[in-house]
Order: sequence, then C-alpha cells, then structure tokens
Amino acid sequence: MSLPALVFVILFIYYPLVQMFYLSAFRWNFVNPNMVFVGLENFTRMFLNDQVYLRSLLNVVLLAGQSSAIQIPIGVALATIILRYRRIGGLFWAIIFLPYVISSVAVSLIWTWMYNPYFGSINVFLRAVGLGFLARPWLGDINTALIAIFGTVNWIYIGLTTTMTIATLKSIPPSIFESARIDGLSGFQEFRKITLPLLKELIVVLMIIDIAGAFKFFDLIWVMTQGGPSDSTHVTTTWLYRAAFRSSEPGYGAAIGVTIFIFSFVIVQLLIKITRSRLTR
Amino acid sequence: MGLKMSEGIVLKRRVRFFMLAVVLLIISLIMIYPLFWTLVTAFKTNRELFLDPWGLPANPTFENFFKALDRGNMGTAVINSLIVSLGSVAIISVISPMAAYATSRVEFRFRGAVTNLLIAGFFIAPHAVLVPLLLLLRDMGLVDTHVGLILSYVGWHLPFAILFMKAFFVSIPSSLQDSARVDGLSKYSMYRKIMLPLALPTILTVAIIMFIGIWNDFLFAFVFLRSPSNFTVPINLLNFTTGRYGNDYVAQSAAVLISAIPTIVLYIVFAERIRRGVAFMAFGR
Repeated sequence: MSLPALVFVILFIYYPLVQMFYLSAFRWNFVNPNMVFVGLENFTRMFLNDQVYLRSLLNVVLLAGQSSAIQIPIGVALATIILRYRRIGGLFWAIIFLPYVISSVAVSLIWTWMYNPYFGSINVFLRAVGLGFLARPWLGDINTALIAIFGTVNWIYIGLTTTMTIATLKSIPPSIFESARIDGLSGFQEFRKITLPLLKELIVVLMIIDIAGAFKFFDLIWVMTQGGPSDSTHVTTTWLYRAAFRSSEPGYGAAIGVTIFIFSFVIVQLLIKITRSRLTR
Repeated sequence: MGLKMSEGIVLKRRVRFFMLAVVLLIISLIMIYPLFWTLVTAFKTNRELFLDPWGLPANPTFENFFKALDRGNMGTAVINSLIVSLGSVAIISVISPMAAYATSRVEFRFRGAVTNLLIAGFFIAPHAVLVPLLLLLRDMGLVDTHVGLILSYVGWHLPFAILFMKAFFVSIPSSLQDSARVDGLSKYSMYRKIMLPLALPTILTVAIIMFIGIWNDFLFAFVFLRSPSNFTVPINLLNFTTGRYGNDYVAQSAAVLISAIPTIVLYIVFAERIRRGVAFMAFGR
C-alpha cells in the first residue's frame, strides 16, 4: 500500500539526489551533450575562487541568525500575550499569520513597492516626517538591500513562529499556570519561571527550522533583487540557479546543490542528535 | 491603606493592558498596511500613484483587474494553477493516507526502512537537486508541461503529507483494528471501510495545506515551465512585472490581489485547521 508513494519519492527525490553527486564531477552545458569529467574541480573553484559563493554562504548564516534573534523572542512574547488575552488575541493571531498564506512572489512584489524610491511608502513616510535625507532606493543600495530583505522575511514569518509557540504552550496543562497564579506570580515571573523553561526545546527546534529554511530560501531574493546589487544579496540557492540556468553551467550548479544538501541536511541531523541527547539527559 | 494599595494595583494593571493594546495595534498595522496599500493602489491610475502615493483613487474602477486578467495573462494563469494544484492535491490525498496507514498499522518486512525513505525527503531542500530534476523531466519528455509539474509536486509534498497522516493513524486505538480483524476484514477492506472514513478530516487538513503550498509555489514552475500559456500564477505574476507592463504598477497590484484571493479565502474559512497543520511542522521534525 505504500508502493505508489514510494515510487514517487524514489523517482523525484532520491534518484535526482544521487544523480546530483554524479553530475557535480562534470563540466558541460545543456546544449552540448559532451560531459567533461573534472573530478572535484567544481568544489575547489567554489571554495577557493568563487567570492560570490562564499558571500552567499555568509548571507545564509546572517539570514538564519537574524531570523532566530528577532523572530523567536518576538514570537514567544506575542504567543504569551495572545494566550493571556484570548479575546483580542484571537483576532491579532489571525492578522499576524495572514502573510504566510500569500505567495512569496506576491509578498516580494508588495515589499518591492514599499521600498520603491519614488512611490514607496517608506520613503514617503520618511519625507513626511522630515527625515527625507534617509530616503533611498532601499533594494538598490548595497548598504541596505540585505537589511530590507530581512525586514520582509520577518514580516512573513513572525506569524509562523508565534503559531508554533502557541501550539507548544497549549500542550502544557493549564493547571500549572493556575497554581502559579494562586502562588501570586506576576505575569513576567510566570513567563520566566514556567513558560521559558518549557519553551527551551521549542526554541532549539525553531532555530533548526531557521537554519534549514535559510538554505531553502529563494523566491524572495530572486524577485526582490536577483542577488544584486553587485551580487551582495545572493544566497546559495539563487547562486545555484544563476550558475546552472543563466550561465549554463549545470555541473557547477549540481556541485552547489551538493553543498546545500550537505550543509542543510547533515548539519540539521547533527543538531537534532546533539539536542536530543542533551534534552534527554 | 489596604484599599489604596488594591486601587494602585488595578490602575497599574489598566496602564499595562493599555500599553499592551497599543503595541499590538502597532504590530497589526505593520502587518496589514502593505496589503491595504496594494488594495487601494489596485483601484488607482499610475498617474495618481506617482503624484500622490497615499491618495485615494478619484474614480475607482475594476479596469486594472480586467487588464491583469487579460493582457497580464492572469486569467490563463489562474486556470493553470487550479489544474496543477487540484491535480497534485488529488493524487496526494489518495496516496499519502495509504502509505501513512501501511507504515503505521500494518506489519511488513523493511517497514522501518520504507518509513524513513518516505519521510526523510522532508529534510531535503528541493533547490539542491534542480539540475538533475530538470534532466529527469527532460528524459521523460515532461519539461514545460503541467503533468511534469504535478508529478514533481506530488513527489516533493508526499513526505510532509505522510508524516502528518501518520500522526493521526498512530493515535487510533488498536482495539478498533483488532475487532475489525476478528470480523475477518483484510487489510485493504479494513483500510477502505474503517480507517479511511475516520481519516477524512485529517485528509482535508492535509489537502488544504498542500493546495496553499502548491498554489503559491514559485521554484518548480520557474525552472520547469517555458511558455506563458502554461504559466502558473506566481511565475506569471513575476513575468507580468518584468515584461512589457513592467511600469504598470497599478495593474500589477490588481494581479497580486487576484493571486492572493484563493488562499486568503481558504485561510478565512479554515484558519484553525491551517494553523494547526502548519504548527505541526515544528513537532513533525
């Protein structure tokens, strides 16, 4: 009964995955069928000579880091508030989750307009409050492009982080909170003494999701900057796409794919093992 | 004295609640504002947009929406996206509960290995294998076809669907299965007559989440599709903003709204289901 599903995942996930390792040792293009075996040359080029690839790795680390540092604390705070004030909390929850159900392309376009130098709301606002000197083409300026993208990322995912936290907190028996209130703990004390320790596992999980998510990041950057200006906002996936399909170097693209697979899959597996042993100790 | 203290506490609580409400209001405004701005802009003219980015439209019409659907190819794209999303969801909805049931409730050889194989794909980034996946579709003659896109979506969405369904099948008490076995039901008729009806609400949740994910997917459509007549909504949206109508921001705003309507409607109707399913991702791992 699991055969149909098995056929699908083997054909579309594992067969390409294995072939990726094979392809990463060759140089060719989609038109010319002659594949030249180059061994590990694609990898040495990547790590020794490809500044944009190294920059894209740094951007992935920055993306994962800022997502964890900003979304997790805000998400945890909002989740506690939503659960404490159920009536206004429900509506608020519905609102902050909304961006997550809209396509990333649509969201990217909306935010490209927000950052637009002429009619973008951010510049219009800055000029209106007398801070016009700060106005700039946010996505075209090498100093602000990455930060502008991060802003949009947080706008999309804050609702998701909050939702995952709420689901975790809901699984805690309410009697714990009741007895805390009887003991006279204030809201903040209750948060620090009960909620936070219970959330430790979730925080680790959320960080893993942020790391894996940063390696899966593509749409937003491709639509908003295509990796520019001056290749400063590339992540590994957009650089893979450029190499394989725009510069027509599929072998090099497959090699970048190998590193994405190893970094995301292996690192995440390792993290899970480490945290599991630490959590069960 | 005691009275005064309790009055102080009440006041302090009210102030704190007020401050909290202000913070929540500001965050809500930040979340809503970009969407609201797009909604207003979709009813303006480009001249109005540049002259007064915050102004309201003088003569609001649906002209931008018609332009997006017709010249922007959004009408075709919506139909293509419906075909691809519903086709993929239909296959996933049939296959994933079967696999989840078999790997949770039926004993067979290599069950552990099969389960791992079915689920591990959840941890792999499809972006990594774009090159070999495109070559596979090329060998199958399915580049630039809806069938190729549907099959790829099914393959890559199955792991989460199966993981989610397994959580349900595991939770069914085994006494139910035992009594059915006493009645002499084979594993197939037990699945069809007992398990499947029980699983329908869970299948619906999976189907909704998968539909939203596939409707919104950009990556596969972007790499596998070539002709605008085959484009799904997200890639068509990008094509509309970079092509001949690249400066027609008001029509693009209308296109963005058209693209978001189906998933927003689903979210309004099934908010609880969607959030529960999505939150599962945190625990599924």
